[in-house]
Amino acid sequence: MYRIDPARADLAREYKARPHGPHSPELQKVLLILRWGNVRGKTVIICTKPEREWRLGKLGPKRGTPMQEFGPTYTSPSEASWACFRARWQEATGQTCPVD
Amino acid sequence: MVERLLSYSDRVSAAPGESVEIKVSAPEPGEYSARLIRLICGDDSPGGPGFKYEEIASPVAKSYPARLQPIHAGSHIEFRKGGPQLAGSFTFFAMLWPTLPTKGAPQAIMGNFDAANRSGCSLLVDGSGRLAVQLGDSPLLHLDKPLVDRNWYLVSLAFDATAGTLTLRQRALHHRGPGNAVAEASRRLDPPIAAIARTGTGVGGPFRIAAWSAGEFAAAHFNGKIDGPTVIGRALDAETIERLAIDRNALGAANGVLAAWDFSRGITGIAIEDASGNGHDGRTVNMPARAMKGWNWDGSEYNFVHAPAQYGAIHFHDDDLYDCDWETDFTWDLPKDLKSGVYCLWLTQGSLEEFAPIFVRPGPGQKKAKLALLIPTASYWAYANHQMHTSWTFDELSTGNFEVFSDVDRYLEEHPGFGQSTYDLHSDGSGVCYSSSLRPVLNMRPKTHLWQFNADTHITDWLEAQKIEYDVITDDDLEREGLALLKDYRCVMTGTHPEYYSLKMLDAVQGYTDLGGRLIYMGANGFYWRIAYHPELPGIIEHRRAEDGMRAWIAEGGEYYMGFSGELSGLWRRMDRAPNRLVGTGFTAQGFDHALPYRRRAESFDPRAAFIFEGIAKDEAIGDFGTIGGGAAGWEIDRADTSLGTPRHALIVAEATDFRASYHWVKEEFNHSHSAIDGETCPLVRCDMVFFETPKGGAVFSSSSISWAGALAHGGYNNNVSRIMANVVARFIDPKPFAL
Repeated sequence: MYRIDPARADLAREYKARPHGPHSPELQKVLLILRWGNVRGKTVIICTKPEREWRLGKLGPKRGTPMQEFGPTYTSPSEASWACFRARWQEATGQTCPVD
Repeated sequence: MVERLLSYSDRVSAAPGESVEIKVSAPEPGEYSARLIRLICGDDSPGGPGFKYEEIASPVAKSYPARLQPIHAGSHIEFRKGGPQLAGSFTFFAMLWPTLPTKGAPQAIMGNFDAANRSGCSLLVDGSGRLAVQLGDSPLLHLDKPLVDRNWYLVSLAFDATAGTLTLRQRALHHRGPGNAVAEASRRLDPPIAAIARTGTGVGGPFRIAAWSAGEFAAAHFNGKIDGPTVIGRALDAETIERLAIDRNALGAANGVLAAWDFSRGITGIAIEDASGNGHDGRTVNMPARAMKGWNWDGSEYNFVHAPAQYGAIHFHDDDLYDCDWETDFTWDLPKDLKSGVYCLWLTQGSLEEFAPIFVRPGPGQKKAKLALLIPTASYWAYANHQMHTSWTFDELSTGNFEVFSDVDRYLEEHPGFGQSTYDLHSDGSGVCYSSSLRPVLNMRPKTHLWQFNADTHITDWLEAQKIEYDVITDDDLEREGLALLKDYRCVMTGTHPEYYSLKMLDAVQGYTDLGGRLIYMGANGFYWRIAYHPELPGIIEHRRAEDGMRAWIAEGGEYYMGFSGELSGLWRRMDRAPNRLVGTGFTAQGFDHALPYRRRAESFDPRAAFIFEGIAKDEAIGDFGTIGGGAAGWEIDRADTSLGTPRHALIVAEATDFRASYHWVKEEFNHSHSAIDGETCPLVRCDMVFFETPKGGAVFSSSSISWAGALAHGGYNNNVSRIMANVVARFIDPKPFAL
């Protein structure tokens, strides 16, 4: 089973530079780990103004409960994807993503 | 989150001279306004053609009083005459397969308890998953042993009015774990007369199955299957309950039976029959799932039609929804000279807006255009209000993106009463097999995600820009009229993703091409899943995610046949009707992070295909642009394959290859697991543009890509995708026959 090495700043930098791919085989593995399973409990992206603004957020414990928004407002899908990547890195490894 | 202005109509397809009822729920008091528009394009995204419409003067374009109209989701059974009356001693029993016993809230199995005045008596599963009885406002009597989800139980409640005792009992039918299969508890009521007074005639609410009453509404909906619920007018001992619950002949001969509902009767419909002869017939509300395996299913038969007695269960869900049953706000009487097209009632209240789309087909006797756009409403219903983001455990892995929640996604997540799509899971984790149009369908609107309805407006936008006359017809019409709907058109164009087809619809389109019709397949992953429209009830389709395919969920073994029709559901290619036979290509791969251009192949220089590429250079990349993935070949893509029925004479005129690893080969094609299944490793991850002639002068052109229509508007419609489409449409509406 592949395990994400939380010190691998090179992989994070690769994603930041090109969030919508193409990605190296190893970054593809990282993304599969970050994306495995249901998103309830994980950080997701909320589009707060259609095609213009995005924030990070989380789902409530079940359908019918409010979603939470947090953090800055992003003005491009790439910025929001990068922020989501960093949050998922933290959630998956327990350590802060080594790239800001 | 901001509340929404919501609407739906009694139907979405209508002809001039007919009427459509518009039903609206407005969150603010006062008024809301309605305008009528003919929609040209719904894509208001920054890179798209823009939101375009033609305003239509109409008497319905005015202000209306605003009101909130509620939605009451959750399925159950109700009885026209109120059901059996409980007086004196009685016994309830049923076979039970709970699916969400630890919901944390009561789930009523059967009885007449009314939560509004806390009277009556119902058998239930309590918030901790324990069998319990609610008798008036007495404390719950419950068993200590919780029910295990997805296990069959015989559950019963016996009330002895003379002795003043209540007895609850459950037996696990297939008990294999530690401990006893049976749990039982009794309570002596003190004084017993108090309990009797709470169960007599006129006390409690109407009898319901899978819910209880809360005044005039149903509440405490049950999640799971119920089979053979029965009410006996005396207190039975355990031995007698066991005998009557398992042996229907013994039940038929028993004394004092007040009601014995047999769900194996009339499985296709919503009527519920009381087999006792006492006339306590009822009806299902909000379409719980029928044709479900019962407690006695033994695996000897997979089709309920052949063994209905083994399909006597109904699966109820607390989030089922068929018809919101809202009051009509206004009626649009379509003028007799109204032009065919996609219309919307555009509703606004302050900053809130809502659209109610209506597809207007030509009326009887009206002159028809040469070209018809066949709006894939069956597929719209299949995706109606989908919540894949949260239903799936694999959505991000499939799309190759982190989830992005749009305003529609978020609203549906936070407001669970809107019913779901055939892509979703119910709250108990079971798959959604019905989808209805009689509710606000938030993702079938302009200005929404470019998928299905809104993506299809790229086609109307292009037809308008090209000044090509066209009629609009729908799958709902095709299901009703069959081939007769199509036969007068020289050419029929599909939408971008006509995925769901009933047998009648598929036969009609196949028949059209066999009779010389010209078919333009504007998308991909079409003609893929088999569905059924209900034979009598309006606005609802059924689909079972049977043995194979790119499935949102997996149907239970033995539940592959559709209750609406008795037909096997699942993939058309598993029924010798692969889409390749009809349109030359079939679903081969999908990915949602990029799209690619096509390149011409040698066959494109065949004189038979010359008309398609008129004005296109030999080495041109076709569609290296577009609003859907940045290319014309993408999202979902199809491949030619003679082994699946692609005609031998079909020309693969262009292809898109070398997709990235984010594109995945469809799973129904690999019979053993391995790793060569993506765009980088699997040569079958490709997109084939195909042309072939059909009998009697007809022809088929297939783009085989969902992204195709998103490229039409590029460069002010002056691009090679637009050029190819113009070439194809011009030739396909020309009466000159194609030579086969």
